[in-house]
Amino acid sequence: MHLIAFCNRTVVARTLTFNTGRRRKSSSRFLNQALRIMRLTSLMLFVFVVNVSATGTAQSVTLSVNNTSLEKVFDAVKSQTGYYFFYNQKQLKEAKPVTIKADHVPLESFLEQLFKDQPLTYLVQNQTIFIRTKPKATVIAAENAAPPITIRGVVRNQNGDLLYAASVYLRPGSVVAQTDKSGFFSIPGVEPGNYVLEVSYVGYEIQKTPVTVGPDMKQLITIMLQPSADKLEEVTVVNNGYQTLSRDRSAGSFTKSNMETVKNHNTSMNLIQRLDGLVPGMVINNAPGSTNVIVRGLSTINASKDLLYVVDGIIVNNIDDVNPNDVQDVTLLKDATAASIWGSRASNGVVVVVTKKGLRNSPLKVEYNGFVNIQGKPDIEYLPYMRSPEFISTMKELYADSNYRKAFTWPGVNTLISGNASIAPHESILYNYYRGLISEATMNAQLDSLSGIDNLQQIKDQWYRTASLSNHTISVRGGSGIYNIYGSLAYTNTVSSTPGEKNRNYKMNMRQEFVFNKNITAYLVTNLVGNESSAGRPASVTNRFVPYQLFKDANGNSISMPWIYRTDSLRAVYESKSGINLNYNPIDEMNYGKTKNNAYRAYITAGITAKIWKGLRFEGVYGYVKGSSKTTAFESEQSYSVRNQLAAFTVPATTAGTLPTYFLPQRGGQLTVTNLNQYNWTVRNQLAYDYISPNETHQLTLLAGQEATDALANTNISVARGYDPQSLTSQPVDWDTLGKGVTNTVFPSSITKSTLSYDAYKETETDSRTLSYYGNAAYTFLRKYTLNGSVRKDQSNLFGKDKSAQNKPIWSAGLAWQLHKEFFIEENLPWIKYLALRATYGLSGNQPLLTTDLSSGTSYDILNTYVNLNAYGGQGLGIATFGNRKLSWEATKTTNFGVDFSVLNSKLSGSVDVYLRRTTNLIAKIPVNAFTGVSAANGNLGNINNTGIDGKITSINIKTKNFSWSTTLVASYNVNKITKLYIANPTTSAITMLSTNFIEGYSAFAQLGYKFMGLDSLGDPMIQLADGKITKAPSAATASDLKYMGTYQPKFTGGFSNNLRYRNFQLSINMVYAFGSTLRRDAVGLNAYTTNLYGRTSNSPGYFFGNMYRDFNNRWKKSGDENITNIPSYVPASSASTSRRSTGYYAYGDINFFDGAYVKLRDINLAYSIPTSLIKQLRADDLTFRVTLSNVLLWKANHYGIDPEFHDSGSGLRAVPTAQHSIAVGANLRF
Amino acid sequence: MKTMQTRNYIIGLFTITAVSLLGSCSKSFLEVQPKGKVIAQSTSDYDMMLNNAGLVSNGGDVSVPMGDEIIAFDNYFTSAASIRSQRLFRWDDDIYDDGIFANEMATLMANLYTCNKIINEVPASTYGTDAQKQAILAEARVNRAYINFNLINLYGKPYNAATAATDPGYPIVTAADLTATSFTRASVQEMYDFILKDITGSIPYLPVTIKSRIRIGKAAAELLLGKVYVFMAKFDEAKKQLDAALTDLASTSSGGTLTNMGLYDLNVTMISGGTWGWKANSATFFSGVPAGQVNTENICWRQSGTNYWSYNLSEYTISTETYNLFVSTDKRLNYFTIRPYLESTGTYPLTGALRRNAPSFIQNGMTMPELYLLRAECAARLGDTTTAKADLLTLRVKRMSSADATVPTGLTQKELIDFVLNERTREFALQGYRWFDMRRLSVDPLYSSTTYSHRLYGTSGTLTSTFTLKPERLTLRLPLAVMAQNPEMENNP
Repeated sequence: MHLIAFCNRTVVARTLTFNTGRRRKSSSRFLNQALRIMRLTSLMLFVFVVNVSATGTAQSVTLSVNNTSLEKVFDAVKSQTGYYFFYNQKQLKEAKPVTIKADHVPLESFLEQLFKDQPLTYLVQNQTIFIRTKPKATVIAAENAAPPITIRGVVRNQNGDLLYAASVYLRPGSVVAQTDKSGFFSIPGVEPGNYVLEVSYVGYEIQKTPVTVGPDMKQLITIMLQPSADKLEEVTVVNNGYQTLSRDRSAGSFTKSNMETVKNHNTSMNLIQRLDGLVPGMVINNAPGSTNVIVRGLSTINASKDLLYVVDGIIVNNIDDVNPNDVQDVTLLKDATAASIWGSRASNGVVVVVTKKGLRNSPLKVEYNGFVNIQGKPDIEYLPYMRSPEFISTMKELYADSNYRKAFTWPGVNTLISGNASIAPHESILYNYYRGLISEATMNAQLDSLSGIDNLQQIKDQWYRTASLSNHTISVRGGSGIYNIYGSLAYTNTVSSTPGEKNRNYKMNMRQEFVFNKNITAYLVTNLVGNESSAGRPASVTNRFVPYQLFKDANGNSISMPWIYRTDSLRAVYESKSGINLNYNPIDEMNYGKTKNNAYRAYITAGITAKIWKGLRFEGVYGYVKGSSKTTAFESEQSYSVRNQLAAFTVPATTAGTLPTYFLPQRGGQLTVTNLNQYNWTVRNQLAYDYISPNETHQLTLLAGQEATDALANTNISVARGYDPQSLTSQPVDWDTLGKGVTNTVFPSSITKSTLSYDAYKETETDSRTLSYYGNAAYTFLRKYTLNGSVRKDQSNLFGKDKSAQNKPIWSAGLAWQLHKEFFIEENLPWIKYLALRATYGLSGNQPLLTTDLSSGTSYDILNTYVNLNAYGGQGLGIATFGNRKLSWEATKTTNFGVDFSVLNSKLSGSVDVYLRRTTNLIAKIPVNAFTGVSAANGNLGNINNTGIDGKITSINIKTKNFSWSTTLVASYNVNKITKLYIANPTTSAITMLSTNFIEGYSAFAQLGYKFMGLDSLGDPMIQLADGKITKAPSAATASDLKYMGTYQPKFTGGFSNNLRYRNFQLSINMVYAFGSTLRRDAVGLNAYTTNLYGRTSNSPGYFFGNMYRDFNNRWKKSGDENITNIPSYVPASSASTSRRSTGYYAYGDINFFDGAYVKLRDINLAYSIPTSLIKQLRADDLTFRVTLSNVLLWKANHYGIDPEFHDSGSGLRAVPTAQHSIAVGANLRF
Repeated sequence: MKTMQTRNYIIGLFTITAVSLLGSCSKSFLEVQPKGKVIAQSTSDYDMMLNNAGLVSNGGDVSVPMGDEIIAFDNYFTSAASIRSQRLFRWDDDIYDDGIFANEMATLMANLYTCNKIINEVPASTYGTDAQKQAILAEARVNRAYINFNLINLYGKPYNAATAATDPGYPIVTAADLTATSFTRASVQEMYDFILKDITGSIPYLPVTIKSRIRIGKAAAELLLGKVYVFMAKFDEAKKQLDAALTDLASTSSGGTLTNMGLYDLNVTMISGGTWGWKANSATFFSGVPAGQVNTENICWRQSGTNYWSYNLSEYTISTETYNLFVSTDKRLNYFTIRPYLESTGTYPLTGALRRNAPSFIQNGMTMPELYLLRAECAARLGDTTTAKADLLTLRVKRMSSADATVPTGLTQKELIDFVLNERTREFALQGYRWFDMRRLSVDPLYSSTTYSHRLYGTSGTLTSTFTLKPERLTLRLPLAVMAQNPEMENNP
């Protein structure tokens, strides 16, 4: 609106009155609000007009006027030069009429002539001509009493967020101020008069606000910035969780994400998932079995690879508890600076989240944000299993081979394993025929009928439903001068693809800020999270199950399939002996129990800032997290597992007519209650000192503090048997007898007898405490040269640790140079708007942490107490983790060079970082010499170097009033190499080597394979050894005969997004990509070269197996096939197979490795904002509708149809893809 | 302004206090003992470690297929038996492919780690009396001796006094240290000396009365020492220890609710309608034999993992010759069945080819039958026929009809020794004991000329293959995977 002023004089007058302190007193709050809205909307309407008119004007004046008002002259000059005049109507009252004649007179000369006889003078600055009253010497002397005045104000963005480190220029002149963390600025010593405050902030339009400075000026000026048309958000300030620094003053490597894009990613309620492809250096892996989030490659293998999540200054374990809608700002800290600030836990990168704050001096603003994301059903057909006709004919073919029947004789197959003998319907038919029980015709007829049945549709219908995710968040913000609040309520409903499951999440988040006085402010963040979920009995049914077994009959009744556990004849025997029904019906089974979970977590964070003396202040942050979760898993009396267990602990009656002896309750089910309680607290006290020399030659920030944290987690699990959910009672069992084992039961639960270990109550507790001291400093000289340093020491209650693994200080140092502020750039290369160089170096590390689990190693042997009923006292101690006395600290030295730039009128901007991370004493599972008594233990494996580049470049391709188009490329390139391995006895075995991911001289997660040479005349795979010899002998290959195939961690990853805006439409197209990985294929699926192909391979309820990959039929079958296939022959007898050949030669053959590269069109997001005119009628600020299509298109380098995002490269197995081609619709309303 | 200064002063004071409070309590703040996890410190911790169930188990089934009392049937052997089973039966050079570690070695080595840890650390443990510490130390040392005795008999040549000092044995590991990388094989003599030292140095400190069969008492240690001497062919030394064991056994009790040590009378328990619920000709496993921890024949309970060759694997039976060693009233035959596993009607095609179907674990610790049999052998070797016969009778009357139990008269010394050795076969057939006897007999002048062979039969009972034991295969080769870790070490030929 202020800009309009220069185009429309009448508005100027009105504007100025609004900004005088006197009027404010009389205007009510509501009026103020109304006016603010008007200003906002009018600004939005005219902002483009200004942009257009400000360009392409000459700087000379041709004018001839007689006795014309000064104002008219101004208008003429403006139209000729594009220069604006800034003045107050009052000033012109004393102006004399003008008579002037000019022909192509330069502007400066013209102005000089124009003002020569006026009581006014002028000053040209930034295409604006400021009109000032000529000082009258006498008046000044008389009014000497009026002291210089301090202008105070606050800078916000369109959402009301306070902007830190915005530059506020007082025009005319070159006085500049910067807003502080609360968005406040003050400019002292201003002479009374009319000025313009010109506020600039990267990513926002420059805002010019006229102010009249008078002796009675006390009001706080609020300046609202509007984002630049391209909505580009750049890093201008950095919040590292401890402090907020101006971007210019930090040498560290930080990345911020465009929150607008994050907001539009309506696919997940996980903040990190929403950052996919947006943050350079951060790789989000959705593949099963992979590390979910990796920043800049791996610097650790066995220590935690998790990023450190810091929310409002407090470490949070579960980032899911943060509602992405509450997030103001996310910063990823990537280099050594991060670690030296946050300590040893930060070596994998730190994500600093700042939540939204209330508005000071603002009425309540309400915002609604909601979406529904329809994710569809999992694509189970992705798994290449056979359908019925192929499956049955394959089975027939196998049984026709006498070798198969010899390897899997009827008695052999009909073998009991813990009371189970599973024979699938097709097997039963085939055995019946080969045992001479039925004719060939009968067999064929029976098998044909199985061939004709296909259960795929039933699996899809019965075991899956359309998954969806929906969220509704309502937030309010507002506040007075001394108190402000942001609060939100959120409801998330996750509908999984499993029928019967429920998952509802409730969040309430509130941030309150209190200003006690000029020196003391405080805040309180309260985040409450509640989650309720429930599920039926678990079952995992895919097309791995035999393809002919239906789940429902023609009448819709669910079908029983007790054969999954045992033959009908055996079941009849067990049932009669035990008197217990042992039928199994998978569909009914789902309802024979329920798992419920209720979880609550409260995050309470309070902070206080007290100014002590000049730039010195005390800051305290106090966090408390309390969480509890209760899970009840109930298996009812009807459930198969309860019935089956009861039968296993039943001793049949020895004489007819008497009852069997039951060792477990005959009535009631089994209830497992898991309670998890956690208490975390953090206390941080720090002193901070800020000093800025008067002319900003020196800027110094010092910080020193102490932090103590405690995280306590206690879990207890109790199991009640004979539980009746109605009477809430359970029944006792004889643990001593059950523990030692019951013999002669109906069938044994273990190999020879039925044994049940005590499980009625279990409790575990972990308590990890840390005590840290830290300090850091930032010094900036001439606003151009910055020196950073930080140091930190962590101590923890590490258990089983040698002192050498503790007390290692970590530190970092950095330099930054604001090159664009240098004279030679400003003068000679004006197209460079921003150019900064950064360098950091530092040491960080991972302690071999033990507090949460034992997986990362210990210096001492750690023992576990466990029940041993056979020992006197019933307890024994065993070694749970073998101590490695040479275990030492894992240390990473990181060097980072970065450049940030913005050129060509901000059309091209970005940053690029190059880093080198040298990690020594990598903690990992290392093979241990067999003579020690330990096979593998955690130790210091070796050294790894990570080298990489990550960067983000944004280009504003087109920017016009109605249309803009920008492109952002996020790219991360990381290569690593294991430079040293401290394995005393290197692996020479090929088989051991195949499972070793770490090999000296190669990248981490190296994949090795055999040089496959095809099949021989028996269909056995052959390989070529290093010496050129071709062999199929099972033990022929040694480690040196393996070929390096690549690494399964992609080298080159990132995202590519295009944002287009046409009028009120916003379209963003985001792609993610990954190149440079090598994956291993699931050759023939279950590796079924030799084993019996049972209907099931697991006796755990709920798992359905038995099918084979279609590729199985392309195997070698007869002599000559070796010329057409590489898939080995099937040899039924495992001993015959393993003594003749190694099928691993094929499974790990080089032909089965493939390029894991892919590009995925992650999402297409279309948003439409209701035009302002309509919005006004709705009395709202903004109403936007969004539609998102996710995972739309996939390009992949492999021709196996494998989506690398759903491939476990370790096992070589594919997982069922979920949430592909999902669609989300959402809306956002602000008023 | 004054109030302001005061307030600032207060804030400063508060800060300093808060910081210093944290600093001063930092030491105790970090010194919390995490729950549920223990670092052994007190004497009772080490005592509890001896209650470790892991100490009971070993991979003792490895020697079952190598004994000469068994034969194999092709229809179960070639097509269904594991590659390990086949290679053991054929006495192949390498049992395991490269990259595969031997369970029998790994389980013993893991237990050795526990023993070494106790031995090295218990003297400095807290809250225990010297006597308590000495008793724990002694028990751990006997455990170590038991482990080392098993290892040297798997991987070292049979003890031969003439060559033991130069025969490559097994590394003597005394540290519980997983960072150790350099191991050298001690000679067979050094290993035996080490074993003897561990046991003899410990016996005085061991309790006569034990509280559970997991733990080692004096009688168990004496029995083990006697057995070691027998394996060194020092029969008089052995007999002294075995005598002492029997004496101590009189007052040894397993305590609590367990019945005292003693032999079961199979004439009562192991018959149709007997107390263990046995039935003839079963095609499945017989589970009525008391489990190891309550089995009164165990003086110290040590056992193999499941012995599948007496549970559900059908490839091995005893040979006709072995069967012929039994008299018909011998109830130990009831541990066998004529049927392959789950064959409700089928039988093996050879007479006397019986499959073992109980118990599922091999009791290979210190047992009552072995005590009597070892003492009988020593007595026979020393010419004490009376004692030898008496001990044999003690065992035999619990195994068969009293008429058949009597040891025949008029046996020569060699025949008596043969009789004892055959009694060992009858008692322990298909339980892996025979392999260790074959080893020690190979260096016994009385038996060293014996050659051993294994026979494989076809479906109809025809002999299809015969495998002959090479002398060097009396010693197992160290697994290739272990050799790969220790390239400096020389493997057995």
